[in-house]
Amino acid sequence: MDPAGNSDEILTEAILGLGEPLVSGNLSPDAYSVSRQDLKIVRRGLVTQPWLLTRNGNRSGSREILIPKSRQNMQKLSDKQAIALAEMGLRLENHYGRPQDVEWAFVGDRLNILQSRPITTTQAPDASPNEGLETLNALVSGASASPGIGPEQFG
Amino acid sequence: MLKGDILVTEITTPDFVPAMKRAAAIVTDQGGRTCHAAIVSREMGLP
Repeated sequence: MDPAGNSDEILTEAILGLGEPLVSGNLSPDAYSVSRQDLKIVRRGLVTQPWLLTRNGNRSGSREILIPKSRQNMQKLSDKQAIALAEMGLRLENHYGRPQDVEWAFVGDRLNILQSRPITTTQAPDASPNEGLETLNALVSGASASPGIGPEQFG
Repeated sequence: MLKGDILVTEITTPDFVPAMKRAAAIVTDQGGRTCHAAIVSREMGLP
């Protein structure tokens, strides 16, 4: 499911290379939303990726390498891969009995599951009252990653 | 960081959690809905 949005959709985020920069937030990922009902892609959010993390040759550890300009804007997952991941997400959810946060890696066409754990926050908050805010001009814009629980927490 | 401040940062790491607990909201430059900052913010109920 999408932990920050529509629970009828399965969210997959993807980057090229090793996954650590996605988890840390050092790279912003592509986001693919797939409908739970018919497993069709409802949305693709494509993000420019300037570099990737890869194995450090024969030595231990990893290193960052630049991605050629011509490939920085490519779609990270094929539609087929995004749908295969959504299907796998549903299988894991059925197996464990609740929505899962899954780490995975494609090596070529082979899908590897690295980790699956329950999504820790599945309850959508009550719609927070934003009266008056629509008349203000936003200073910056961006994607919402967490809906919060409303203004009363610090009220 | 005082309670109720808004935390503005490039990313968050586990070392940020004490500051995140005091924040009223968190803004990052990078990261998707499954990165550390997003997951911890949702657990804390922070926008």
